[in-house]
Amino acid sequence: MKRFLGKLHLITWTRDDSSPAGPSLPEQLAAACREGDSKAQKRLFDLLSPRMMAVCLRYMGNREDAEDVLQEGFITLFTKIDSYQGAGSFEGWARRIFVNTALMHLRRTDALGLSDDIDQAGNLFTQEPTPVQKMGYSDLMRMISSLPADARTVFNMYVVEGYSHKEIAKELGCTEATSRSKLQRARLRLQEMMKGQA
Amino acid sequence: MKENELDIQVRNLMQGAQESVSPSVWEGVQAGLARKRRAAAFWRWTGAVAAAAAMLAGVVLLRPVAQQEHSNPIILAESFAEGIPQAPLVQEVAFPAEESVVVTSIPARRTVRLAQAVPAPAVQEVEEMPQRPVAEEAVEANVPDAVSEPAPAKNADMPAVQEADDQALLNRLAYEQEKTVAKRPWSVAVSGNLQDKRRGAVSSRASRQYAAPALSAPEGIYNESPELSFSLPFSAGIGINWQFLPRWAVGTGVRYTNLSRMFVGDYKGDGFVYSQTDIDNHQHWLGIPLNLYYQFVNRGRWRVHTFASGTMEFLVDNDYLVHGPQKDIHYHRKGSRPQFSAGLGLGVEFKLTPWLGLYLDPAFRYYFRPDLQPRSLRTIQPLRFDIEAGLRFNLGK
Repeated sequence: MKRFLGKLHLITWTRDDSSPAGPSLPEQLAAACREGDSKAQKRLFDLLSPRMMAVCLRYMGNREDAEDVLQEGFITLFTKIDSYQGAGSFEGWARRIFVNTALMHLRRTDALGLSDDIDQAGNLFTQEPTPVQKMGYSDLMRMISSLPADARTVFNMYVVEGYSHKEIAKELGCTEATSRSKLQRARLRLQEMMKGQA
Repeated sequence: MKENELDIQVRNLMQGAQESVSPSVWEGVQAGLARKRRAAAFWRWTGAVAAAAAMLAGVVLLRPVAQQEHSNPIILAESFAEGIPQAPLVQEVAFPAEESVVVTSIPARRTVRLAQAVPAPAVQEVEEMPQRPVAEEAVEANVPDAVSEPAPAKNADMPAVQEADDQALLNRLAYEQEKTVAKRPWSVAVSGNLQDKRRGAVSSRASRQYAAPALSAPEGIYNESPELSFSLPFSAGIGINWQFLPRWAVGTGVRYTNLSRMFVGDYKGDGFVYSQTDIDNHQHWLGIPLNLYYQFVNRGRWRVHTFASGTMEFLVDNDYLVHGPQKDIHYHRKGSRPQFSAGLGLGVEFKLTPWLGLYLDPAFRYYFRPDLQPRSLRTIQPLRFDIEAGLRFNLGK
């Protein structure tokens, strides 16, 4: 009965007029995942995991923690997939889950502490400085990963995810001023590292 | 470099970036999902087994008493009518020997009417009558092999009065029944309810296409997202019933109901706002039901009845537990207007003793204008299936 209703939902959902171009492959797989289809889950994992791994790595700073967050995030995604009702893109909804999972992980390990010591970020680069335009993804990821957890988190949320300082302050339980300060220090540090590499 | 240039460069590099994933991650995801499925199945089975065990214990603990103890002439008379070999009727009936003889000769049709007229409580009343040593001695001396054998010799000389005795017996048994009903018109019940957790359609909501509450906004919960989970609705209560006619009764009482859910939303407190955080909502309701029962089967220890009910409930506490990034916060909303509901059901009761019964009342219940109430399973699905189970104590004078 559940499979029948799931398939019926998939059929009716794919005719959703709110998505004129039709549902994307992840969205169609999500409908099948609601039924508990393990093949659909694996396919969805294969589709989303590379991009979500990049998200997790940006927040956690090291691969081991990033994989833990990625695993936990996918468990949450599959468990709460019923709550996705088609409003907004599925990938955006999924990205939100992984960002929240990463934040919860950082809170759990108290990594979002009160540290303002941005100078603790190690200087990994002793080469000639290169302009940002020539910098690749992996170099930039290394630099971001080297930032302290609190500054890195604010930087990721503001610059990459598009949160406002107000939203960041709500999420992290700090003031907007603190959010702005951490962002500014993260930028300064990144620019120093880039100049150092250049 | 200007700040916005840095931001743009970083964003362009990071959005759409991909990283390799080790196979162990997927294995971990599968293991985690399997653990959750096992846990959910465990609690489902545990609940089902516990409920079944409770019901079974209630029945097994008060297993049907042997006929010798019951001394129910009606059951024995039925057996006689069907030709089933039984112990002699005279031995097991507390009536005088003459009456027991009459019972053995009752035709099948009358036997059926007797069965309807003499429930167990009435038989209990009969047991209270003083013993008749004479009849018992007669039984010892004259034990027929089969029920169909004629009555003791001394009663064989009174065929002309059998029908009159029949009628007298019927009248007496009916009287005893009415006395029993009148003697215990009041009953008190304690019960618990469970409702189905099945949900209807949940309204969609864009995850980020909303306006966060302004800092100047009043304290409260904003931007509730579709629920992540609902708990099983649970009620418990105490009630009193009055049987004003043999088949009709009315009842009322007090009932407590707990509705819980978890969702994601914004909370605005004293000078701060938690955005898209997990929130647990617990609603505590007190209700006053009014029920009307009609009993259409009353046989032995079993009763079957149909009922209609109306309930008025008040939300006495609406508690929100906001899981903030640094601490949890309790937020209470004021109560709303009363919630009215109506139900129809079919119930069954098993008489454990004359004064104690175990009942099960499944019903469909509809909640009127649930949109005027705080969000819950009722607002999503006003028509709900409800199972009430409890103990009913029949009060005597």
